[in-house]
Amino acid sequence: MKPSNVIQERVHEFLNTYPPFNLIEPEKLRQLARQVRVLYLEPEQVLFSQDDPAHEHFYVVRQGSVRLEQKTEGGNPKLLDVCDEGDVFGVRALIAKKNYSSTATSAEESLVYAIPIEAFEPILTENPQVALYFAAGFAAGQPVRNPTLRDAQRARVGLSTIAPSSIPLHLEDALKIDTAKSIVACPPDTSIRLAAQMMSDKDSSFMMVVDGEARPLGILTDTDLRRQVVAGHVAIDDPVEVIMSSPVITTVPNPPMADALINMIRNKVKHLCVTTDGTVNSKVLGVLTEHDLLLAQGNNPAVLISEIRQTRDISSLPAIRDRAEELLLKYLEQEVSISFIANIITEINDAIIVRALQHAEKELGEPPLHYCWLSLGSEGREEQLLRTDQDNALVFEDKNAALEKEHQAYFLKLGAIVRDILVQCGFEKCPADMMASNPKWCQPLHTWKQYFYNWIHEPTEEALMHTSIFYDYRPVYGDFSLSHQLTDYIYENIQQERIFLPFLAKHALQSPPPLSFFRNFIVERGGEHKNEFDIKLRAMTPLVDAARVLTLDNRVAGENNTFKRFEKLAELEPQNAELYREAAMAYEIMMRFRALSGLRNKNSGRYLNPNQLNKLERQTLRSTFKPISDIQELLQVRFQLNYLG
Amino acid sequence: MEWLKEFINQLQPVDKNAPAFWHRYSTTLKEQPSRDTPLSEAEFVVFDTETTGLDQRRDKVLSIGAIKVRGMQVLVSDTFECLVQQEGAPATKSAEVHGLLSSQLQGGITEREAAEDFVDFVGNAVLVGQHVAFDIGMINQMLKRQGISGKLRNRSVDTAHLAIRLERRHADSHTLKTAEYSLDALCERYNLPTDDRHTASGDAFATALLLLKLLSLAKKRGITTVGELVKG
Repeated sequence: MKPSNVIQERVHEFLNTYPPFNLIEPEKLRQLARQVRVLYLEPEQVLFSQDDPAHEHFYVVRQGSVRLEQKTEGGNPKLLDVCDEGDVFGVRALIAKKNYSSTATSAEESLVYAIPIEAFEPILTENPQVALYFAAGFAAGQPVRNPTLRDAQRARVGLSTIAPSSIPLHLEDALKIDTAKSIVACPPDTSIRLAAQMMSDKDSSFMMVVDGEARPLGILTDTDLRRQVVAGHVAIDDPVEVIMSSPVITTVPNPPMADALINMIRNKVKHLCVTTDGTVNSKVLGVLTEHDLLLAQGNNPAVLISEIRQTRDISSLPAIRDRAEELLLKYLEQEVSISFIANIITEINDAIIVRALQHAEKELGEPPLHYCWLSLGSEGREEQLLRTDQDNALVFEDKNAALEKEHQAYFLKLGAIVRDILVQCGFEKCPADMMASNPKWCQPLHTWKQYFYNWIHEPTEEALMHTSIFYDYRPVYGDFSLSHQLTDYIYENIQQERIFLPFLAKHALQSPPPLSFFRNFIVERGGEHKNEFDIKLRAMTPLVDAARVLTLDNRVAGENNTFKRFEKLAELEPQNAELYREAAMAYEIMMRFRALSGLRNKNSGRYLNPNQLNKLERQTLRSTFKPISDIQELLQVRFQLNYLG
Repeated sequence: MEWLKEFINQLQPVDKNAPAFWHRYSTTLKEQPSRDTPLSEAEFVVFDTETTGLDQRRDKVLSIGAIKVRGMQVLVSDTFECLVQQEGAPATKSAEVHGLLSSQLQGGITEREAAEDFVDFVGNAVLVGQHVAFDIGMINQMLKRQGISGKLRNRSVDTAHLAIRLERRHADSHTLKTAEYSLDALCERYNLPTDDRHTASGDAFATALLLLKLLSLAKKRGITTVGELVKG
């Protein structure tokens, strides 16, 4: 093959700026670039129409923009997406080999690269990352073959280029690995193709190669596959023993973390094979991965928490809380699961609140009555990652009505002390003053019951606003039975009031998600552009609200957490299980984005600037919008909201 | 009168002593597609040369970049690029503009090879370039130095002229500012990418994109065939 000339090199450089092309090995991408055709589209020129037979090419926008639209029964086309520079579209021809499912029209003068499908297909088959890109539905105007957010999530993780930072460790702890977890293993004559398939099915980063007595012969990792197979050094039908790493680095069961770490570093491996006697001559029990090492540091937060509990000096709390933030960043970078991270952060925050309350009680003297401290909002749902505003309340027991004012005065002081300590620790005051230091939200049980009675039976706009904050309360300290009594009362009333849930459902539909990203803008469903994305209001709150009203509708009490709510819903409504799991996944992806954006910009992370997102991040976020609108549609139908006016 | 010129061209005998490539060229030119060929089916070769200077008689070609446009698409697969060895090429300002230093040109091919390869690449396509007459003239000089008595006789389109024709159909040519019709100005006006300019290939690519734009404009003006396009 002749070397590329200037023109071909220029096409190559452009493609190499964008996924999925930047995932292709340079020489293969060069070959592909040589076969590109450039098309000029005048404004409103149709490149292909819905139901047209597929072209021999798929397309990439080089300059300008292209609209993808679908016919509707009403006659007005429905906007699916707007593609700008670097966006890939028209891939239905590539993947499904069916007629186009939408019409592509240039929105302005545009130059479009046409990529020959015949030349691209081998890349798609050989390069798992490229396949993942398409499986995740990252090309515009998909779905291609009903992509799921699981793929989007895997693609986001698999295709991202953030280098993980170094890991802090508690070196003296022994590492226990779950040997019951099925080991992915195969005999040495297994084909690479089959091994790769098995790894993919089990979502495993490795494959143990074992002999007849289950002794380790070698190990095959996803890195090996990428390096050897995709680079073309071996054929996909060769046996795994050709490319496996051998001998395997082994360890005894439950090694100290320090030993395991040093073993990995010294041998430059990411997997340790655990065998009965720690040598290659005994049976494989399991595999210890770098990821396991990281997860094992659940101990690290434990140290933070015990420091919080034991510190005599209340002024040392802020510094400890700052360390928790470093931990958060590392977990996020290491792609540790969001529910795990949220658990840890909640534990730490709760410990601080408890410590602050104990301190306040010491200052003020014994409390006159039993009380319970409630965390509200995202803290109440155990899904706060960043230190956002405080949202809390206090309920005390109904006793001795004559002294109620006096008792409240004590608890208000208590609330104020805790509020100030939390401010020191980086939790700002609630701008709407929804804190236990506010007399309105520091009340005896009977008053709280009255509040909820009114909110439920007269669901005004303000009452519904309060729902998102107050329904997700969680007892953190004190007499939890007060909180449980309130919960029982609320559910009893909700059962009686038939109009309440439809109103709550309607409230959950207030902000539909946007459609897509375009250049540095957000594209709304109506087609208009905005330059800032309020991820909380437009994507997270709709899911939180939907999960809440749907669990209430299913009469599930006492579950606040959005993931767990969706999990429960998936169990209760198998017919919608898929959608609920997608919604939970979307929520997880958004929590991650928000936390990273907040840490990057040292703020609440609430407003995302599309400017700061790369193509892959935009494509991931865009794929989370779909389950949101699907779930809003479900609410619409279930609560017959069209009739509610 | 264009058809008559073409007709006479075809009658001209080919020098029997001419090299094989020139015979191939003469044959393919006889099979030149008709003037009624729709623009959407026509084949164009968009090209640019970098030269030692602007004097057609004395200056020489240093490099050629060319790309085909067919079916209203720029075919990145069908490109031609060469550096030409020119002994004793005068060090002129061109070297600064094109960045082609004589040391680089050592790696090029001979003028004979360049002429042969380029003529083979061009075939009977419509030649397109910014001020294409100059580039055709330079190639013809190259052919002449190689002892070929004939000249390139392809139909041709000058993108600068075409732009003027499409933009100001009734304007007086004296009021034209040529600077407005430079490749840079045209690309900017038509919002076309202009990175990597000032190499023969880079300019040919930019000109090819410009051609797509102009063909789309031409269609709106009712110009639909090759004949209508080249007559201007």
